Amino acid sequence: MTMRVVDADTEWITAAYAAHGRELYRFAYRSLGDRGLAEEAVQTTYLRAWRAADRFDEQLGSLRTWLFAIIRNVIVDMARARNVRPPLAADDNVGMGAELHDEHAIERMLISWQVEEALRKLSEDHRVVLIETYYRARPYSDVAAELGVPVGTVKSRVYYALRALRLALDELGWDDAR
Amino acid sequence: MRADECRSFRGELASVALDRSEDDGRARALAHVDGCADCRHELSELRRTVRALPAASLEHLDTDYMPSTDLADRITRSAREERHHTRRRRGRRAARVLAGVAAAAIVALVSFAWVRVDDTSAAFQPFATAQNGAIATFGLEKNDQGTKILLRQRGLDPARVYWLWLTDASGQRFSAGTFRGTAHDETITLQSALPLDQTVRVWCTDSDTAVVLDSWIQR
Repeated sequence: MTMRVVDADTEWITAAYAAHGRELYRFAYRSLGDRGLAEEAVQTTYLRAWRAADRFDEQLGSLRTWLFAIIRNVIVDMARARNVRPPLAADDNVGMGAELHDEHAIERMLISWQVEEALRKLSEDHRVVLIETYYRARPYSDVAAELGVPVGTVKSRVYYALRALRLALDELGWDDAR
Repeated sequence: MRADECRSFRGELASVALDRSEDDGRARALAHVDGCADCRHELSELRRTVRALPAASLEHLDTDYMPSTDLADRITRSAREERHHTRRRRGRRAARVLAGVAAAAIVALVSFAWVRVDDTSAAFQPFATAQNGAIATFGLEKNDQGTKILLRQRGLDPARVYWLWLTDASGQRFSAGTFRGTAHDETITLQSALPLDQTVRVWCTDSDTAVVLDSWIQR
């Protein structure tokens, strides 16, 4: 009986990690800039969620939304700790995102991360044309020549890339009002 | 017919949304948009998406973030250990209530400034010094990463963050992570890179760096 309960606990964590662990990690790493701290943030998040699992109500929001709410708090705590903690031993964190002072900074980081995560979800063809034409500001003709396709194809890919990006942003809970 | 015409303008609408359209193509696309509600809506949606783009950083986009392959295992192991210790604690608590002995033993132990542990693991021990009315005990266990610390506490301020530290014989301190205070008994698991057999002190500071829990370990 005891083992069944324990297994059910860990199965819940395993399933929740499989569903959202990597994107939580990417968000934490994007925010904290340190692999060890990012893993600590993810571990703390899942343990907090696991301890409070009986309070999670799917009617009020998705598991993903809940986990992201937790990890934002965890990251704020870690960022605050970084600002006030005493001098550390040599094995402690280096390279933590220095700009993370408060919830607003975390919010800005979340917005950046959402767009980057949405761009990662695009097909290679779509991601490449957006990166080259928008972020690198290259002329369509240069991109078309490099890819060996007509300029019209590049424009068409940009259109479908933006459509796909909108879907990906919506899936990630993007809010235009922010 | 109309749908085909609209389709032919899609690429140009994207260029307009990105502000990358050249004069001729832009003029033709906007002329079409003026007379086509569907394409007006389409252009509006594309512009809405384009407004999100500046938030991304190409530097981070090119970086592939992947956690360690054993992270999920470590999380489930921590949960299993925490549950195990919670149950042990509850069992011991029940025994204490029945026997009325363990509470007295804890009071007696609190009076000792030195705490003895063996080299592999230890049962929960009270901190020799506890400020602010906190009641806290800890258990140390050797593991492959150094030392695992099981911390049970209540009475520390739930609104504050606390740091747990281990110190070696040379006086160098090693972080064991952070936690929040709780008003009720709660056991948490923390980890430090300092090996158990080199640990001489377990202590905790608040955000003002004041020491709130402290124990020296005698070997």
